[in-house]
Amino acid sequence: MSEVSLDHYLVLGAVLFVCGALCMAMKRNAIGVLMGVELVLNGANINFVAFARYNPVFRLEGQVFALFVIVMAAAEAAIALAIVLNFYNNHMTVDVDTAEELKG
Amino acid sequence: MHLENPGLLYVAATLAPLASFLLLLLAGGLRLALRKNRERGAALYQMLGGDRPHRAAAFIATGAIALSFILSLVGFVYFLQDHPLPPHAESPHAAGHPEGGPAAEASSGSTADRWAGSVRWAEIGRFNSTKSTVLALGYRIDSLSTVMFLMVSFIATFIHIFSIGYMSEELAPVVEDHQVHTEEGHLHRRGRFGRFFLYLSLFCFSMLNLILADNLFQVFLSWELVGICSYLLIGFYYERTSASNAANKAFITNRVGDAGFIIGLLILWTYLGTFNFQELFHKLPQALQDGSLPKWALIVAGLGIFLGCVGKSAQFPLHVWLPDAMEGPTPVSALIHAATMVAAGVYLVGRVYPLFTEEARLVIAYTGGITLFLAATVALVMTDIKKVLAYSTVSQLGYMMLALGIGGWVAGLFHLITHAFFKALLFLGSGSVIYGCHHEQEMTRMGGLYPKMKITAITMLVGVLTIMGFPLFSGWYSKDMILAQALGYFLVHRQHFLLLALPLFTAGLTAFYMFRMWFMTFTGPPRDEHVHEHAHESPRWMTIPLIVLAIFSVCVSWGSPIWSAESSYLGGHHGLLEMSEPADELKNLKMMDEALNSAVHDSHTLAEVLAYVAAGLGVLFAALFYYWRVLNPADAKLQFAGVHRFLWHKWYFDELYSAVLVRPALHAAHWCRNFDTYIIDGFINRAAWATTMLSRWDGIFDLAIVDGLVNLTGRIIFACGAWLRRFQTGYIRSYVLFLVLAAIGIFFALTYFLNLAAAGP
Amino acid sequence: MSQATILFLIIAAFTGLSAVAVLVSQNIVRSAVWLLFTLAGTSGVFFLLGADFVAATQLLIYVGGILVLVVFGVMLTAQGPFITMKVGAAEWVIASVVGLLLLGVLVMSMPGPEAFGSSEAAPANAQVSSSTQLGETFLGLPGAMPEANVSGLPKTATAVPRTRVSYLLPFEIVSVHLLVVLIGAAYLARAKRRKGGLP
Repeated sequence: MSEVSLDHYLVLGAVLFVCGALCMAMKRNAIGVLMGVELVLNGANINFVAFARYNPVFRLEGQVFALFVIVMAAAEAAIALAIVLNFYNNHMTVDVDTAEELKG
Repeated sequence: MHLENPGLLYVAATLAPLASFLLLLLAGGLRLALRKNRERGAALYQMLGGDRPHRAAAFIATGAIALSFILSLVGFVYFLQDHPLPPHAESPHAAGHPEGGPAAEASSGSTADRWAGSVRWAEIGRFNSTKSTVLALGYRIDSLSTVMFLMVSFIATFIHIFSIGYMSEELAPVVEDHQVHTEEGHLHRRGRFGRFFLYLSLFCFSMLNLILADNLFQVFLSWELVGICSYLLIGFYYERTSASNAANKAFITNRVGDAGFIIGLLILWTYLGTFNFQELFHKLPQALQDGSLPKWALIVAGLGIFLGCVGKSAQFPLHVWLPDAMEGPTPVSALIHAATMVAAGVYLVGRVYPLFTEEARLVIAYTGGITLFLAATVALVMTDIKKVLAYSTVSQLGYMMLALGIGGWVAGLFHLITHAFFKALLFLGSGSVIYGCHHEQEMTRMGGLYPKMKITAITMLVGVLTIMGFPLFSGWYSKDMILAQALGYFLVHRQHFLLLALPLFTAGLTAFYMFRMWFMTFTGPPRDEHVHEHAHESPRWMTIPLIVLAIFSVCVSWGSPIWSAESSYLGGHHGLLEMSEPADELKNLKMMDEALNSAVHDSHTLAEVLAYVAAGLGVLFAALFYYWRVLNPADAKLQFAGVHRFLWHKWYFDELYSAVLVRPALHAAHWCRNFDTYIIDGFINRAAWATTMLSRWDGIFDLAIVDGLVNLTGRIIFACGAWLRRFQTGYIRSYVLFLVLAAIGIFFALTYFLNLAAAGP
Repeated sequence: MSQATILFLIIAAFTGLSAVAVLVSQNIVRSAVWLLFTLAGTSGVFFLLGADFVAATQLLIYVGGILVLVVFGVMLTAQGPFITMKVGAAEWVIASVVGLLLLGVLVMSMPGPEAFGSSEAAPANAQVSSSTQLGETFLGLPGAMPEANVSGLPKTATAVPRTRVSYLLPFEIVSVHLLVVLIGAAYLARAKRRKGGLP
């Protein structure tokens, strides 16, 4: 490993992404799922900024995108929390396994 | 009064009874239709007679036939104007006709048009116009037609008048038939007065049409029609099994003859291409000469047509129907089975005479000879008065056929005319006797009726004398002519001695059985007191025709002078009948036997003597047995028991036909029925069973396999759906996993299969 | 190994392990803490990449805002037995397989270091302060922005004036979006009668 290249950052981003996806898939707690979403978004952000740094064509658009993503993530987190609170009020629990009315 | 086409008078005379028939049919049909609601159409129904037959039917029918007679009489007068009888010049027969006859006919060529006409009715085989045949309805009047016309219409008129009295029982609304037994006793049925006259009218029309016809097709039409009328009238009391059987027998036997007739027709049409008499005679000599008509074909044609005449005129072997036909009412027997219908056969033989070859004519002669002998022997032992007369008719018809066969054209037809009169007289007389004895027909129960029924007895005596051949009575002329012809023939052709012996011997037999009949009925002590007590003379409706017919049967053959047979206006030299003799045609065909004619001429006197001897012997024996009662008929019966039995069973002809024809036919019918029931029906039943089995298997197949397939498909899809359903867990986490998996899959596809992303490191 | 590399390794390992720990830990609060570390690590990565503004924003908003929100959520919904919810072992296996598969796919599809030319060009950008550059990019100033490589346009003699990409509109939209989200969240989370009552 002579020097850090784009790939290394991409790998990191991928790891974060995968962890976040698995969190969404594995966590029974609704807040855990929310955490997973944050992880996914972070992984994507790393990718964006890495490309902004290493790609001469896209100058700083990656960073711009990353900013937008952060803002959106915040908004989304707010809404998600509101949903979770509603869910909690209705089911007295945050276990997502109880939301199985779509079971066919 | 000048008439353009006097021939049309005869056409009108033929159509008058047809009009009567249609009118009676219409009225009767209307009444039948109205019978259901007789309350509503009351007036019309009552006018048509109501519940009982209407007397007017008889008057309509009688009026029509009387009109026919008058028209034919007027036509006869016109005919004589156009074709006057030539004077009684004693020119030899062999020289042919004198100037008067054919010359008068030939000079006025237009006279032929006045007495003949034709209407095209149908054309067969129009593809090739030269080969197509035209079916025409036409008329051609010659002296034979006029005489026949007069005879038929005259006798028919008087028989109609007789029937008004004889059938008066049928006027009642309910008639009891003593010969038909049902559960409640005798059969009670509606009276059938009108129907009788309906059938009589149809018959008169058909008979007149037959006489009128100028082509064989029309003759055949009328032939069949008279056959139908005979069937209807014989089976008039159809509820009696005997009557319906007799009607069937008559019709079927006639049919056998008609088969021959049709063969003859077909042969003639095939080779000569026409049905018209004149054209046939015209084409015949040329066709024979140049070979377009082979001799064998002509013989077959002649025999075929003769077979038809055998059937119609009850000759051997088709004579079996005539005695059974006595089941019909007596006027029917008189008109149809004595005077007219049976005469149609003889008439036809006379008409198509030139078509018969030497061989055919010999067949005709022998048939006639056998018939006359056969029938006379059977008549000897019959006890039913009508049966005696029936066999007598058969015998006399045999005489006519014999005469025609041996070349005596005039003799045969002369006898036809005279026979019609005296046989009708005899039958009506027997009808009067039967009526007077309250429907008693067996002579064994009669006897001594002379004081009770004088008119009937005397008129019947006239008839008996006529048939015997008593001098100056009409039968004498004709019978002597026949015997003279026979004798002459024998003298020329010595090998045919039977053709002389049979008629001569039978003349004696005729005299015997006729007088036997008269003696048994009218003389001697009554054999049945009950019958004798209630016997009475018949009413005037019935006795007047008897008297009239008696007068005619005496004088119809008279000429001037009366005692000379040759000078008879009807059958003598240059008489009416001789005018129509087809001498020219026979000359053309070289069938005119000059030697025969001269032999006949010379042997006239000898024949007369022989006839007197035979008849005299016959009368003598009859008187010995039945009048003076010197000889006992019962003893003779015992002595000749075998012969008597043979004759009583009519030479076993019925048994023979039954065994040879009827029973095999029934066997064949039974066999056919069994074949149909077991084999054909069996086959069909098996086929049906097989089809049922097939359909059952097909049903199983459909249920199990076809339905099974469909159900299986459904179940597979359901199983697939149920399996897929398991993926809908409802858990968000598993959905997320699937999302991820899907993303991986898409990545894979994009990377490795579609080269949309750069390859890996 | 240069300094940069070692630094990168440390921060990357820190971030990655924290992310895995978020996944693995059973306790929700512990997961929240590990999430905190992950977010901080990510910020560090941003700093390494020379995106200081983004890094700062990350810290501010993510760690300061979102994580706090998450912790609030945990607090609001924490009921004793509900803090730890176990997941079956089979699911761990499936999840690991799927995760590794996804990781493999993502790694395989990486473009490689030569894909976009040398990375030497990048340090040229790193000289200028990225915030200024970021601002200029936002406003779409021509010096800061390259010409967009638009494909599909027809080749003409004269150069087609390229559009300058500017992000002012998305910026405004995002602001409005935030407002709407605030209102929505406030409405969604309004006080309602609790079903079933407190345990």
